[in-house]
Amino acid sequence: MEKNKIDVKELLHSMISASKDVLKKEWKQVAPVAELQIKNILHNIEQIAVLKINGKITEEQAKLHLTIQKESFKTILLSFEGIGIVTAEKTINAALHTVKTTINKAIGWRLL
Amino acid sequence: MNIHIRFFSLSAFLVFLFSCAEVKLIQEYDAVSNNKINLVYERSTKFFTKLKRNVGLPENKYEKHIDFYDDIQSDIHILETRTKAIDKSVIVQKQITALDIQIKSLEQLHKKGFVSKEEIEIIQSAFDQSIAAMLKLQVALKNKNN
Repeated sequence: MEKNKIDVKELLHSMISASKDVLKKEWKQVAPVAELQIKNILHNIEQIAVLKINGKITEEQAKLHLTIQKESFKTILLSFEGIGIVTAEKTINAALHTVKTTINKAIGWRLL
Repeated sequence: MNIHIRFFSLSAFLVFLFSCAEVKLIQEYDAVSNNKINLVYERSTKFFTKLKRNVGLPENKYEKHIDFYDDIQSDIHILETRTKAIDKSVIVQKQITALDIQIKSLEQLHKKGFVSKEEIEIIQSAFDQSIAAMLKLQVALKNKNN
């Protein structure tokens, strides 16, 4: 990679593959939204780089900016992870509810 | 032998009955936390709007915005304490920690001064994405039992 230049495609690829690793099963479901959000963050990172290259901000300021973007990315991933867990919980409980209903119906009174 | 079989059957049945109870993998929805996140969003939006309007003016000096940082850090502290008391709230707790780091970084940048409207927009965009993600999870938690 050339100095002072960000390879956006490479960065996008790295961020998407990191997200896939974290989200695993949920990735397919959230991919379109996640990719859009990752692109927004990348756009912000590019702008930070431009500010730094043009001498508008110092290295220390650039690092603080990058921290803000990094934490935003983390929050987005956590949100998808949480939504995935909610979906899993709903699925399991719906299955258990079916078992409950079937057993209660079979024995004629409310056992479960 | 018979007793053993009976005991095993009874145990298996009890395990089965127990497994039919509701499973809880993540915290329940908490309206107070949701309202606090909305409040943080409202405060930060007003703050960024003012900053963008006053770029280059003395009104943007850090010293004139200390109240904002005090208020928002109190909100985050309340959110942290509240979610820690809620069972299985690790994900929301991690989100609040991330937001706290963002606020602290913003404060440090503010102390150094903002150079342009674009610089403020970059930060606002990250904040908006974070808070939107937090609210998205809150909506999912709210709809969990529907």
